[in-house]
Amino acid sequence: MSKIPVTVLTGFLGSGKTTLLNRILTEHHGQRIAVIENEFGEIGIDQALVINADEEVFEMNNGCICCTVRGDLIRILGNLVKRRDRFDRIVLETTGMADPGPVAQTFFMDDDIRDQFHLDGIVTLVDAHHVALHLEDSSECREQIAFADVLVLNKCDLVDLATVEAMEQRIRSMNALAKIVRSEHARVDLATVLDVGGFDLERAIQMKPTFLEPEYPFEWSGVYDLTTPDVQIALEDGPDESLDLVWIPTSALTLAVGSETVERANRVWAGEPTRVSSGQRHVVDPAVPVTLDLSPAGVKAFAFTLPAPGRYALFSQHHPSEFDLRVLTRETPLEPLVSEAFAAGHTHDDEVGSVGIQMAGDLHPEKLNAWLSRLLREQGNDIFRMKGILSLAGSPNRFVFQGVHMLFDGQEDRPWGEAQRVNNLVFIGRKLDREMLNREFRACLA
Amino acid sequence: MSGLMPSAGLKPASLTPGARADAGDHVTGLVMNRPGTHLAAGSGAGHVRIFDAASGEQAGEPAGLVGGVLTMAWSPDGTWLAFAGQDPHVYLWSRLTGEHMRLGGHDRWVDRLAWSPSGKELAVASGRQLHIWTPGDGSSREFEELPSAATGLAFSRNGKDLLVSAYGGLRIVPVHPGRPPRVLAWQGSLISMAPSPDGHVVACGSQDRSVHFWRLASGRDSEMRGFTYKPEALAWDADSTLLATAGDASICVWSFLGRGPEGTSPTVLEGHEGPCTALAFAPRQRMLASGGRDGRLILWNPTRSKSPGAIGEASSPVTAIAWGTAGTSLWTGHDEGWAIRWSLPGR
Repeated sequence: MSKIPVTVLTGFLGSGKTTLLNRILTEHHGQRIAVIENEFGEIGIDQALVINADEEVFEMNNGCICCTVRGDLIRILGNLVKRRDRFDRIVLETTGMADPGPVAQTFFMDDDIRDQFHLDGIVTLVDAHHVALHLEDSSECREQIAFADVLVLNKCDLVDLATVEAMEQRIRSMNALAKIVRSEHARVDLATVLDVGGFDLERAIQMKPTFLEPEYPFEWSGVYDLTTPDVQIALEDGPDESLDLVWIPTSALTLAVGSETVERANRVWAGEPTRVSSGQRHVVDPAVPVTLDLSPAGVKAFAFTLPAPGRYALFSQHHPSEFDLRVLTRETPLEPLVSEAFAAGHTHDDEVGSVGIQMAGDLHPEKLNAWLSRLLREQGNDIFRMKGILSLAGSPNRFVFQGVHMLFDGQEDRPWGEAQRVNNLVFIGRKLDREMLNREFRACLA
Repeated sequence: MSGLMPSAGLKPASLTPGARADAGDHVTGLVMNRPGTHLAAGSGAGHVRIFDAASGEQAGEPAGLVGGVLTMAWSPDGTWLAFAGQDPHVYLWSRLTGEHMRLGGHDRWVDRLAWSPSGKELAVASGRQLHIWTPGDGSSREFEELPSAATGLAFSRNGKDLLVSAYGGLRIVPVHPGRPPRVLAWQGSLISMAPSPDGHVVACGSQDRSVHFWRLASGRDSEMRGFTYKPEALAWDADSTLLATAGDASICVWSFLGRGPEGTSPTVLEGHEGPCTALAFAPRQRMLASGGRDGRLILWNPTRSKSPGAIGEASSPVTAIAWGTAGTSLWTGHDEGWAIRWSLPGR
């Protein structure tokens, strides 16, 4: 008997959950869908079974928050399968303030639920108009983003494109694994939010995600061909009072991770920067980083003189969209020939972020198990989700696993066959130490 | 009984199925009325069907419930059936007149029902709400909201209190206002409840794979651990001396004689392949019936033998068991939507 998929809709009040739910119900009219709601929504569809439930978070043993589950779900889901004509899908709409952890953990912790249902995906709606505020003052909001398999950046019609891009960049830095879709009035292709399949790590890797890259201190780079050594940079007000830049002369048109240009910028970045103010002309030494003083309000313009005309790669501490940064020559805006975004390396330790590990080689199963057990015991509170495809020594098959806080679940998948045996795993959480995770994971190789 | 229960090593007797009744869908509950004349079967799709307990002929089909049946109870005189489930109402049906009543509504599914010993009042748990209805005049009283949804509900033997199991422990709620509820706290999620017939002990299955029980007089609690599955099936014998518990394929029978069960080992009954899902002691003897996902009905005499006394086989998992009042026949409910009558051999 196949397991019934469960889609969890999270997001703050007003983010568009009910609108999306109504769309799922109207456009999937061939399916029998049961909806579990923890707050009264306005569902306009008669044929769906709507169940109102009280959100009940249960501690499974001795007050450990990593072992909390949703008791209301255990009861309700358990009762919904006691019939021959079963539901095709369950949609759970959580309250705006719900912690997604216990919801996800319910699908690991309860035997009956695990036997009969699978968590297809956590879909988090984010109100592009208000999320910046919620991100600052609500840990629930950050956790809903961190837990998501799909992030719907809704109400994009209410903000300008630069804000949408900056926000997408920000939520991407918190959750590198999720599929991000933009929408207006929750109009998204339902195929992007349903049948997510839980395990979209490969899709994420194919998208060349920045979370698998080494950590750079810069977020963005663009390559420009300059016909004059004089160049201006103009910026609006942004999230920080300063911005670090590096200019690297280059002949290449690539900004690939590990390429000579990028590695050189990384080395230059480590040096002591020169601080420059708006209105000043600065003669650039490509071996020295520059710190722009952005403390005055309003538009700021910096004039640079480079050693010679030619091709340069500009590296920026933040994404240009956050400051509406423009590069100009002779007062004409210049578009980069190529540009590249890099993993945010400046996130603070207590912020939510992602760490990806990609490593060839076979793992020693006992070492891996011992490491994961210790890691989750010590850091399970801060690890929201993890997913991986691993190469275990002695097994011809891929081993896929996923986890929530301290719980994890894995099984053998299809054979590796001709494919290269590469381990890929991703952690999403707080206070993740990329260097330590990589080092300890490497020690698990056979 | 001796003809039915061979000594160890002998092959258990084989039970043959008798009448088969169509319950409509996955049987969520079977309840026999007090004189033992009528069996009510509830289904996960909302069917409620009444069968003649001897012949299996359908004797009524009370309508009304929109979703699946979660709870059913016959009034103590065996004439009114109360039922409820995935719908905010409680339904009543008279076996004598066919009369219907509907009480409600609540905000949520109705999870549990219990008749008072007098049969005049009906306790109803719906999520965290707790009500007592008086069907005679249609009036109701609402109690203080529970901290967590009720998973078990019963009147105390004297009818003065309601016993409510939930996450966080057992609550003893006075039926009449004046006294505060008594809380027997337990840090865990109680998923099933079985008060002993003599009213002295309340046993509860817990989500954390244990069985917890309280002696009501002292409030002293004890615990039984070691199940590999949630122990949802619990049953007391009529004398309140034996408590049978099951969470996996093994059935544990605990004796409350003497100072037990603390410090004693249970009698472990092995005979199911897969989880045991239903347990019921015969009304006046210490004969235990168990049903499992393996489709087996097994009869045991746990004080005499650890081996099955008799085995019946069905092709669909057993979900419920109800004994006839004489203890000479019983019914099993099944996942595929029927109920089967079994006669005990040699009686």
